[in-house]
Amino acid sequence: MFLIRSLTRTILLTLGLLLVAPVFPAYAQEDPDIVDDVPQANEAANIVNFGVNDATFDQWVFGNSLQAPNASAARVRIDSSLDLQIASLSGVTPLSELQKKKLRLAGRGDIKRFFDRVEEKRARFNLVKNDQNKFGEFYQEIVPLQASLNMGLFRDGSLFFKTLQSTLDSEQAAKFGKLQEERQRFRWKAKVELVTDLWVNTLGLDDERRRRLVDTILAEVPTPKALGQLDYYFVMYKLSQMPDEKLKPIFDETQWKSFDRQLNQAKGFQMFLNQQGYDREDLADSSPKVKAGPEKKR
Amino acid sequence: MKHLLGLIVSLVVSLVFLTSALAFLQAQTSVSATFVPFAQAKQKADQPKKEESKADSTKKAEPKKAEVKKGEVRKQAVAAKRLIVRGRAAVVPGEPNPQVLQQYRPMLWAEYHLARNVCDLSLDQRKAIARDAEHAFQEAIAKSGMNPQMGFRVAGGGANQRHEPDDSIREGLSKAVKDHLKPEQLARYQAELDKRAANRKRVTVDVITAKIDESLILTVEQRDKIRESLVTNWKESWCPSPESFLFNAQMVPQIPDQFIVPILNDTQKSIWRGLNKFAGANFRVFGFMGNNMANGDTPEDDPLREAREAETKAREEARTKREAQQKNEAETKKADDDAKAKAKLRELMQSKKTKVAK
Repeated sequence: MFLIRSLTRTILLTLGLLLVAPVFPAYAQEDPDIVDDVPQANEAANIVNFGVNDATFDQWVFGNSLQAPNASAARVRIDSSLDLQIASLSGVTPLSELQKKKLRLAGRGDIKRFFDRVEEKRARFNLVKNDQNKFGEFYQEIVPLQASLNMGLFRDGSLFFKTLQSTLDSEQAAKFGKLQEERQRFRWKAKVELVTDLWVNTLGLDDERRRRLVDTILAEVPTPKALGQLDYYFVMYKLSQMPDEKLKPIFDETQWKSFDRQLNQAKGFQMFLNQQGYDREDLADSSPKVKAGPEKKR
Repeated sequence: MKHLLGLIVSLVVSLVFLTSALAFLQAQTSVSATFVPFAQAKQKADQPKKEESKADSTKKAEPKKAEVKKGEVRKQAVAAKRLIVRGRAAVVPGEPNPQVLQQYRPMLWAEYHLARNVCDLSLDQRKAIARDAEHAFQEAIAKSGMNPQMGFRVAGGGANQRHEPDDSIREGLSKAVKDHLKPEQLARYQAELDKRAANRKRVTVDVITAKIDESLILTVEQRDKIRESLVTNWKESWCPSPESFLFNAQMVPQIPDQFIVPILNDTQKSIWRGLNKFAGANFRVFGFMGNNMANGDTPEDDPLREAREAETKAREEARTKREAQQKNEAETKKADDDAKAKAKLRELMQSKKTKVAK
């Protein structure tokens, strides 16, 4: 009797516990509605199964900037670029074998420095590639590498550039400087015209207004040392630094209302452009202040 | 005491059983799960069954539903399915997608403001152009059936190649403007369109040349030769949207080698061959300005705004009327079918009675 009563109690207690206890995971998985209410289960599965392909690292660093599939192909491309730089310089002003050797050595030093940084980041990548939580932040660490490639490894501040300044005599340096300035000016003008064309096809600027806008930008904004991946934002940011009096007369009232709002937004681009590798000097406010009247705050 | 002991033993045994069961089930899954209360889960599981049984009983109680024309239903379903992408609600077939309208709207603004400034339009002309342009614009997008996930479609080839819906929109807008211009205004407008097209070609060639110079470090002479070669042999299909260079500077258009390679030295040729070149379809900056200028930043003047609101309202009213008409037709059909079914039933009953009487 005692045993029967105990058994009955046991069964009743077990049933009672089952009624108030959580449902089993097998049951949860059968019902898709319930699975949607169990995000931590899915997240845990994702974390366990998370892993990024090794090729992704190379694609991120080299694929966008150089269209090179991997580090080896990128190195070949950059080496060729160095040869072209030196050949281009020789075309403008004859270089001695010693000068070429020094420049080649300096350029290779820049290339080595860059690839040392790449390998450092690759080691970091290998640590986080299977950790979803840490990997999410990793991409931002790649951005400076991409910026270096986009802006060029042999630009102002590089070993190549410093060697150039110390190796060339004054006549050679002047010719090279002129060549570089002309090349950069051509690229800058092409980008300015492109941004203006975007506004032509948005605000319906006629040809005269278009020319006035291009001329104003080229006159007021110094040619930047380097251009990058986000030149639309760079141009708009530089326009936002200009006084209204320079730009407003170019547009009609309706067009100006829209354009002015875009310039207001552009004022906040500085940090973003800095992060993308745009030169601080290029981003600095270079517009002359209009003396007559108070400056309108946007 | 005995009873208390019995109770404790029962409790312990129950707990041991429960823990073992849970541990066994956990071992079957690869993750540590968070459990939903059973009652809640049960409620959700039961809900579809309850709804099904309710639907069944409703079905039995209601008379047979009217048949809508099968062809129409199937067409609507296929069209709706085509427009459902990534969980977005389908736009009604024949209506322009609101997001696509927003993305392409800069085309309309550009045409309108160019005509307004170049032709010195009167207020009546502005209103008429805005009205016709808005209608042509929405009609072109509605006919294209486009949604934001689609790229533009390329049809035909060679001189007959079209990019849709861009070409249809452009033609519609151009006609809407030209229909309301006096001859001297039309001449000025056409001259501006020609300048705009010529400038766009020049800007595109310059940007591509600058891009090639960046990769190949051209001499001044080489740069001028490449530029000239591109201008002479230019095809818009190589780069329909040069604005893409402002946001993805590393892409190189797929320009045939014959226009570039003869001008390069050996090192430059090997780099050029190694560059990935992308077909024109990849050079589409679509919707950037339209999306960027939403929320009141638009260059809409009063005639444009009024035209947009009127066209949207007219389409809304037409759609409501169409839906009401379809509903009426469906109800009429249902009533007819019901009447036919009843007549048939009466006929059957009559014939049975006759047989029985015989």
